[in-house]
Amino acid sequence: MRLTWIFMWVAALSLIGFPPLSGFWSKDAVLLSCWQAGQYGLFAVGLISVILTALYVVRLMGLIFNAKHAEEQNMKHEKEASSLMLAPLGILTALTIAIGLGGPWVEEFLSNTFTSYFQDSLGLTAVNNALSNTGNNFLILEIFVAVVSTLMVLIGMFPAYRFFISHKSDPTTFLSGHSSLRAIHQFLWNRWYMEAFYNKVFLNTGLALKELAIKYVENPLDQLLNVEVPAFFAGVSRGLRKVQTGILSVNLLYFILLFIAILIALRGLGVL
Amino acid sequence: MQIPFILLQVIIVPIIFALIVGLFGKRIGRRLGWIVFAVLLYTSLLLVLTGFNIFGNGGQWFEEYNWSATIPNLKFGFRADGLSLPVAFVMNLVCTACAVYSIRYMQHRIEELYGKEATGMYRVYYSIYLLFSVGLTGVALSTNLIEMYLFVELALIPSYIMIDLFGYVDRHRIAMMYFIWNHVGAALFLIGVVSAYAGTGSFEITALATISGTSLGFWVCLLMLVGWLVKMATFGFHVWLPYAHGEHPTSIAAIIATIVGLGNYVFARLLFGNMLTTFQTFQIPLSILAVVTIIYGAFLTMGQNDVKRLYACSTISQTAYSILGIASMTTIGVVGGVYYFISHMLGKCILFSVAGIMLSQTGTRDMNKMGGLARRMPLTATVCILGSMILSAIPPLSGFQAEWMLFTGVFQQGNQANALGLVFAVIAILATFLTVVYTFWPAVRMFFGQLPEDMKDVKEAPISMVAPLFALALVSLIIGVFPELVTRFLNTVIV
Repeated sequence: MRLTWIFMWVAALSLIGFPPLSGFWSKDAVLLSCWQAGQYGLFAVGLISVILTALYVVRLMGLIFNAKHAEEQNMKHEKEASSLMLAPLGILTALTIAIGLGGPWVEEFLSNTFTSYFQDSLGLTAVNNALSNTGNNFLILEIFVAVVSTLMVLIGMFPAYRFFISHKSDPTTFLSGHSSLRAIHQFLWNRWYMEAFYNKVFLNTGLALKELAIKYVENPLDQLLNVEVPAFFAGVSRGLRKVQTGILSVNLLYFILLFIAILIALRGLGVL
Repeated sequence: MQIPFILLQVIIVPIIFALIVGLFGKRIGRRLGWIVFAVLLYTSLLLVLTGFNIFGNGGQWFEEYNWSATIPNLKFGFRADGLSLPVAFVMNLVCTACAVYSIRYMQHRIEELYGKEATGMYRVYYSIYLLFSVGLTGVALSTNLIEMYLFVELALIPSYIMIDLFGYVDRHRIAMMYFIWNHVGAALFLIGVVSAYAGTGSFEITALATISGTSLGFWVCLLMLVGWLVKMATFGFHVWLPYAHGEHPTSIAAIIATIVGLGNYVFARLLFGNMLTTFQTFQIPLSILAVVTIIYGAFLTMGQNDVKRLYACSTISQTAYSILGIASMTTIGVVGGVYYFISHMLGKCILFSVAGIMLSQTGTRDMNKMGGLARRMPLTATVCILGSMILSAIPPLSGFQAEWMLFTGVFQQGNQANALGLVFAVIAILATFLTVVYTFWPAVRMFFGQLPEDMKDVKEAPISMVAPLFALALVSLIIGVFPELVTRFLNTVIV
């Protein structure tokens, strides 16, 4: 898969920001503006991320094209992709290189476009107009940023190359040698423990609440309203049925009691 | 085109056919479902026609017949206006869809309960089914309170008979439980109606306006509220619902879920529409009850493993959203509340029917025994996801439009009147996350993951069971994309 390999390497290098591909210019512009704006912290973070990008992109390429156990995994007979799939890759690769070679001009064009857009349409004037983009100092700064960022790219690419392409050293053995690295690895492997946090706070609480709701609210309410209230009425009905014996003398007794009760009531009301 | 007695026909035609089906339907057996479908389709079309008539002029369609000329002077009227028509139409539509669904479902159920020879049971079912639909549509269209009460009972008694004859598990006891609870609610409503008569001297709904703000009005409002809150299964009054809706035959469970929601229509029509001054005194307690019910209902739903009972429990929480919207007592909140009720009817009908399909195709209701069924029954899985989307308010289905209107109303009320309203709104919005959990989690448990060994040869449900559900989802999609179809109606009445 020679062509795919070439196209992907071009894209990978551009992603890393390897000069003179298109990724280099845009990254360089970002870093330069950080420095100019006095945001040295952001500048440092940017540099570190350059290392990381270089590392994982080279690792990706190594894992795909220079796998250690390629023979064992029966991957030797992979065929090149069809030209219909390769053509768009080729076009995009060519564009990456073309933009890269014409980088400074593209940047200037974009810069002018955005400046006028921000000014005319949004009414924002460029803040760093005070910092002059010309002169000797600026040239030194530009070269400095370009050199530093390229250096960072190389720093990132070097271990990745050893680990995943030349296989000179093994990442697992390297990791097992350092306990602090292992801890960092563990932390990152668990995605900063964010998922565990979400699980604990949202998922487990929710599930626990659902159990509590059923055990302490739903079941007692259900028992009270659907079992005990009907049972109460059933009990009253049973009690009343016991009173109804059907024996004449008992019924007469009720009759007399009722009669007396009515008399007392009438007396109480002052009728009698 | 002018059809005579159009609204009377909507009520009378199904009653006549109920008699015909009941008396002469024994020979036809399960195919009676198609007759019922035709009848209900006809009444649905009549309602659509009425809708066209009033959509144009923004007015209403009113028919009145003399019932009793002596004291009390009773009229038997039907009013189709912007509020009653969409509600009546969607309820009729749900009944129409469920009639088709019933054909295969009830065949399965009747053969299971009464054997293959019991073709007589079909006429019992379909005859009662028609009465049931009359009851629901009648509540929406009626113009006086006694008439409304009659229709409420007409919806209740058939559903009682249905659980008793065709329900599941402990069906006789649960039918009785359902009947008593709902009857208590209806009785409180009736007491409210009669007390109102004592003050107004009329059973007309519009006459309620004269007692608004009086102390009698307060008691009438309270009685009607409590009566319907029992029927709507709000927190504290909800314990009957998981049983009743869980053990119903599912072709009906979908429709009795609409009885639960009907309270929202009654609130909007009677209390918000005619006695707003009195109704406003209940605003805060009603909102609190709604929020508590939303959250409690959600957790209760999450705790279920039985698919039918799960969808039954979700009705508790879903209905409470509408109550919250109505309790905001702002125009947009009430419109949203009624809209959400309409949307929920469509969604719940789909989901209950899916539960019925699962039961008839797999033979179990326990979700722990299911999984990976999407490959075996892709149509059912799709429609289940659509139903879940309606309930959890995911655009472009109708639930979303309804829910944001409803919450706009609640926020508006909180902004203008009391800050407590904002608290309710925020809590309830957070609770909508729970809705997503309790609608999609069961879908995942049933349709995705590992297919158990004993479910390897489960078949897709028959088309006559799935197609009506897709039709309902389509209606939900249409009113979700064009909410004006509903809101333009509602806005003419709710101002």
